[in-house]
Amino acid sequence: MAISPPFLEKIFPGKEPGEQVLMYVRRHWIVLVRIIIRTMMFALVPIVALFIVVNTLIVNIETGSTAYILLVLGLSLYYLFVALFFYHDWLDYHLDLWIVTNLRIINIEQKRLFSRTVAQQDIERVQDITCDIHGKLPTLLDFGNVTIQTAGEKIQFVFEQVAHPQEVAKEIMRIHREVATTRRQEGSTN
Amino acid sequence: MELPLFIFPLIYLVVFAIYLFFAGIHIYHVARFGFFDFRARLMTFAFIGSILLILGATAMLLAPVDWAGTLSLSSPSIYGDLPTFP
Repeated sequence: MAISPPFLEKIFPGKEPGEQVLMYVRRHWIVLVRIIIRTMMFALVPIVALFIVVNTLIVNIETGSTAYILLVLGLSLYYLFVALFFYHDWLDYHLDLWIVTNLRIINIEQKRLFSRTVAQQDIERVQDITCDIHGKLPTLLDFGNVTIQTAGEKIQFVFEQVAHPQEVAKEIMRIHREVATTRRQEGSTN
Repeated sequence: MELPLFIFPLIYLVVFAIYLFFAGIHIYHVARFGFFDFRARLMTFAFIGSILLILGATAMLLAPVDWAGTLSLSSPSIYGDLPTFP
């Protein structure tokens, strides 16, 4: 789960000295598979429609006719937008990231094209972690949501559709305990 | 009233210009927020490649069209020279 340093530096505006990335989580790969399947279905619609129209209605579209020009230009725009929507959905998947360091939890979420949220919370403030796996597919592929409740504030971090949510929850709890113990020891020595 | 055929690619180009603006914003997002790793590069090149492929196919399919022609708006059919009711 190591991240290359330049990549890490960019996603970490204000990375503190001594801060180490202990875990970073993305959405489960099934989210990407769903995007691919949906795009393939959209790409197949005009092909199937054209096949049905040509074979059942016996429409003769001559090369060079106005209908031909409109069809080619229309299909061209349609496929351009299918490609753009696929890229958009992939971007949404790619830009959602949850990072756990030895100091904090960072929630980076791309909600829409012009809507991006970067929230963070001290790892020591973690109070309660819940993981939800609902449905047949999530149970089968072991993915779901991890909800982190932090102390004192009403901030909830939700790691959405992540792989192995129970293990992620356990790991965050372990990091939290470790950090809390270290800080207590440092406090008693000072 | 007659409409020149080249009006259609002109409309296409206007829509494509808007499309390019949005495509550019998407690519900017990947680069700007520091997620331009190998996967992002691969996907971005695939996206640009697919745009070029679609444009190439469009140009190839429209190559035999005589753009000097016109579309008569009083014509009973837009499906070539075939009469609507033979």
